[in-house]
Amino acid sequence: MPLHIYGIIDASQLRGDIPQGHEGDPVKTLFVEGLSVVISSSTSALSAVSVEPVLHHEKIMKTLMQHHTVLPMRFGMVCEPDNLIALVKKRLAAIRENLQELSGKREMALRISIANPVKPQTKTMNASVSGERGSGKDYLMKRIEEDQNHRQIRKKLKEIQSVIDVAAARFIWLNTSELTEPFKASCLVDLNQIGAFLTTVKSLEDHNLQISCTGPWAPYSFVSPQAALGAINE
Amino acid sequence: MIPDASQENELEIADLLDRALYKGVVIAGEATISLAGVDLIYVGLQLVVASADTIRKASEKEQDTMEVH
Repeated sequence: MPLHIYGIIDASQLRGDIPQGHEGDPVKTLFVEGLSVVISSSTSALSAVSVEPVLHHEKIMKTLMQHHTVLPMRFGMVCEPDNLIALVKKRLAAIRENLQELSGKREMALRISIANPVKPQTKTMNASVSGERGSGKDYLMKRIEEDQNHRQIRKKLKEIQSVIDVAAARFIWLNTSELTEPFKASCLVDLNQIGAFLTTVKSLEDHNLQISCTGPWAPYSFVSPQAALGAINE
Repeated sequence: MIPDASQENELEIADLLDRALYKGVVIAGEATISLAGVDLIYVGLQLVVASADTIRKASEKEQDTMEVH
């Protein structure tokens, strides 16, 4: 029978009052080499069309994090017990290393919106943007403007990262390759530094730059590929 | 602009879904729902969930590959 995996903790048993798993199934642990994989037997929630199970997954994660360092697995991780044990043993060193890195830290989510840094240069360019037929010159002008914008945005994003880097243990962009707004980032932040982190983020805002910040979340984005268990049996 | 409580709640849910849903599996969806601007595709017995955006991109990549061959 497949198991639904919530995460891995660095302890032999669960502490605290852990909520029930999906469908009221108890949350249990599978002890492997000094670590515990937090699981439940029910996988029926994964076939339902609802966001509720994902919210419940995070609720369990938050409770676990009150008492343990947790290597969180994304919602939907399922594995047969034998394969799960083999997988954890195979990845033991990476899992331990990752648990050490995540100890006492949480993930903060950022959404960054930057006002268009370069204003349109000509009237004809505006016409071509609105769909009217433009000349080759108009086209090239528009491309130059876009390139300028992209350069300015990348420069601004680097500046933002350099400031936030100081307040976070790690910083990663989630979607800057396509330069589509809002730019999303994740930061790994020491639990005791979250107040200072929020102050730093707030200090960056001005009329051209808006940053929303949510969290603290379980550090899903900072689980290394070597430590993640994967979605399907390997 | 200061977001109101429901906007904040939607933003929180969208940020959570961005992180808590697996993003690296190519699957065929059975149903799509949308919440807080994030489309979700749930697959019955495959036991895998990914955001619709991930699946769309994966599907586009697959089509590109097929066109090349």
